[in-house]
Amino acid sequence: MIAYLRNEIVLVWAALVALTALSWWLGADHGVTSVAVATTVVLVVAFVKVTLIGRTFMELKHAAPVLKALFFGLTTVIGATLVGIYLSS
Amino acid sequence: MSSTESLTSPLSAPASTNSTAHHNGAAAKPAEPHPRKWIPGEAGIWAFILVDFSVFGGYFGVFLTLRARQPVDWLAGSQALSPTHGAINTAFMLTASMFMALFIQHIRRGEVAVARKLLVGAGICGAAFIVNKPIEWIGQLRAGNGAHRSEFFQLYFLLTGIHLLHVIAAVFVVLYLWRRAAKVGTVSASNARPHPGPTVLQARLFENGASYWHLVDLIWMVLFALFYLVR
Repeated sequence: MIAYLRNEIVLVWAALVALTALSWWLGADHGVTSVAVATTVVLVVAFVKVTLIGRTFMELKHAAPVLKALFFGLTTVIGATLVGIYLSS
Repeated sequence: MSSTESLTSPLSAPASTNSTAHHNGAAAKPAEPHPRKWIPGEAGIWAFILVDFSVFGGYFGVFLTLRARQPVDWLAGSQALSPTHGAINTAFMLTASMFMALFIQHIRRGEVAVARKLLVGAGICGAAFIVNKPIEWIGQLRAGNGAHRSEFFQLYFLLTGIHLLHVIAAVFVVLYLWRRAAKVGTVSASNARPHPGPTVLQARLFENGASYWHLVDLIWMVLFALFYLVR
């Protein structure tokens, strides 16, 4: 069981849970002065989580470069587009 | 490609390269751990993943575009949802994904019993999500927040509903993998199989299923942010 605590998959899961807690805190009206900043961070964190899931859980860090480029490129385009739409509204 | 070829690390493709050893009945020589052209599962599942993620990406853009036009409805809608409820569902999804990724690690080593227990864990987390989501929907409907209320709630029921169908399918995938994992050569069967673990075809099947599960997980990461947290 202790070996699991050193397993990268478990460590990434812990990071994902921590990022979820951060998003929840930022998005649940906990007194962050700028709503726009909080929401922008929430969106960025969401796509950081997508990247971590792709890199570690989906094993893309070991995958063919073309697949990595497609997945992380798509993730970046969608994430950047959403942040752009939000900030321009 | 024979189904007797074994796999001990993420190398669905290269295990078949040592054809001489295979034809002699010997174990395949371990190939380089991560060959340059290796992909988890098959190209077809990745085509599906990229297309599905793109379609959801379009919906995400529509969501934020409509939000800009109807900020009052969107603020009221997001404040009617419980971020805590959404965070709990996120924890279910992330934990299921962790179990699924660990399943892949263990099944590659031929640790079938542990691997199947991890699949049970993934299935339970998926089932918890499936139970929890309608509870949330019913709460919203009782509060008068049906699809008729605003375009926010139309998108809320539409997108979380499509995602829920993905989760239901993923749980069936878990059940299927659980059954197929029982057929994998185990460590204790080492006399019959010098290198325990899945065959190349079995490994691809497991990687396909796991990749699909992780797709369902990552889509929820964005849905959670958009519907529950964006202000």
